[in-house]
Amino acid sequence: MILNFNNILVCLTMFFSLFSTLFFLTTFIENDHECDKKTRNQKYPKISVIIPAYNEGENIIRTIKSVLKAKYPRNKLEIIVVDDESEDDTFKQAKKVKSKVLKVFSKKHGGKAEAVNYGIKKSKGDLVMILDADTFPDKNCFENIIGCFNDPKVMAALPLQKIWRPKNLLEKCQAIEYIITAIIKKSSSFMGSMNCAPAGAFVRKKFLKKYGLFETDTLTEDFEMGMRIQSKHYQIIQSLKSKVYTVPPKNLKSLIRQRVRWSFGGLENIFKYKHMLSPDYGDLGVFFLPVTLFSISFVSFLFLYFSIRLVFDLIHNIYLSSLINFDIFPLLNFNIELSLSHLLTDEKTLLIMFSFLTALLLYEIARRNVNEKFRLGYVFYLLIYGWAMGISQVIALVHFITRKKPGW
Amino acid sequence: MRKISWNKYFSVFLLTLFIFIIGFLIAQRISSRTSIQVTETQKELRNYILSLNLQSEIASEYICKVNVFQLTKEKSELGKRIDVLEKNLGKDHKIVEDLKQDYSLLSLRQWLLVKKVKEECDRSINIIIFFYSNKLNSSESESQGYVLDYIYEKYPDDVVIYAFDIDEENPALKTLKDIYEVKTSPSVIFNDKLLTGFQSKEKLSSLID
Repeated sequence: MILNFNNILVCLTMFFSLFSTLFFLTTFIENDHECDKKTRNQKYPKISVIIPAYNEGENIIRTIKSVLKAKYPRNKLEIIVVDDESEDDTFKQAKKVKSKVLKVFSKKHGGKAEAVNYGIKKSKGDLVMILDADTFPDKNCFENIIGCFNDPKVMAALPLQKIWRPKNLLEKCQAIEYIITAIIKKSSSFMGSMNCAPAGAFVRKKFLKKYGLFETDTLTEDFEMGMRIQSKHYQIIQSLKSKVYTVPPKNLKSLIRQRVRWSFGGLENIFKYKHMLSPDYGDLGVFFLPVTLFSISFVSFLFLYFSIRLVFDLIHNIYLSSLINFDIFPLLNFNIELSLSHLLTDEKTLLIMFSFLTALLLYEIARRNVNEKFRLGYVFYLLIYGWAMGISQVIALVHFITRKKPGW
Repeated sequence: MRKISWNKYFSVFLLTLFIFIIGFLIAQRISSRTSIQVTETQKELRNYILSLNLQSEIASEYICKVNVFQLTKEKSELGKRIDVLEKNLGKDHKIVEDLKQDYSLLSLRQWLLVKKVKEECDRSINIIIFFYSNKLNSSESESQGYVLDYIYEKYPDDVVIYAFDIDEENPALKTLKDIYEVKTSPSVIFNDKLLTGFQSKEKLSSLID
């Protein structure tokens, strides 16, 4: 192999991806699933499910009903729907559901975080669950999560997020991605470094009372809450037994928008809590946060570099073919044996294969742990996703550097 | 004080390094099979040059029976194999340089034979010599090479092409350059006529008999 920039870059990328895959894989295998311990003879804490809703008239009934179907003592459960001055009939629809545990409020429009805070103030539970209207809990969701709170250091616990009935290829890809990120999050929480409290998270009300409610001026208040819990040296636990289902973005454009928001939120909050990039915050400070920053910049760079190269190669080839009036058929007698021997004798090929196989192993282990089918879509997953992730990271980085918030 | 798992980072790093090195070793093992290929290519080239020498002497009486296009086809297959080695090992690799020199000698030797066949047997063969450079006007040389590849594939029974690196130090090649007064690259000698600079597909096609 020739030591040029391109080859060195490919080797570095493969090294980095192999390292992170092995890192999460070994962490996952090493640890017991102690926080998921079954919770027999345990006291049931009171749970308040807060559902902020804006123009969710179509989904709201389904979401409320899914909570009502959950196995949990009725006197220990309350559902608080906060209608954020929707333009549709969200409020009316929510009112249609008859249940003693349901309370429906309507407030002046002010965004999701404000609606959540409004709900928290009205709530009486020991734990609050923030439930988006496009997300709904599995029937064992509550029972299986409360064990995580046996440890008083735990301030938040996250159910496993699954994609609700994935249909098209993009949704299937996301289903696979969510399975893999579950293992990554689980490993991060084993190492005390989970730093986000996304859709469906359960948070101790005690913490919110002491350290304040959700921030209203950020795009990703769930990241902020995660960082805040970590900054006070408390823990966030990822559960694999407790599950919520979520409806994914249906097309590439909204997927990229979503990811831009996430990456931007990640950057914004790491910047806000930059004092946490220190050994005082243990593994999170010396490894997870720096690696997140590095990944976002490295992936952006890779994406730009390889896209530009691809475009240049394409232009070059079009130029060459124009010299022969695009009559390229005589030149297409390419020799399979020769190209195969070229591919096989290149060390890069093997490295890429190794990284691919370990990634596949990670997927397989993740899949077994969350009882999902093996999906061949994984191959597409790598191709489409690499591209979508790359482009969204670049956009997020540009937004961050120019200090312009991405749109919703 | 919160926990920092230095041991873990270090051991996973070592594990990754270990797998990486294994990967390289396996790849090297596979490419050692290519090094056998390299020696084979070298041997084959030498044999070719030798047999071409013999061939032209044997054939001096029966020269018109030589199948020119079969010869050049075999030569260009060898050339493609050298290209693959060049891609894997790099332009400046010693083996690649040696192979390319041998290849130039073979091409020169074959060119002489083909020229003789053309003159003595009154055959319609278009002989093209192409001087390229990887240094001066390299992109023009690349375009010219691309067009000539096309010409060669399009008119397999009318054209033979010999390509030489203008920067190669080689007495025989120097003589050839002197005879045709080749001074710059890309240069194309089409049936003894020197054409300097990039030659389009249309122009070259129109020159073919």
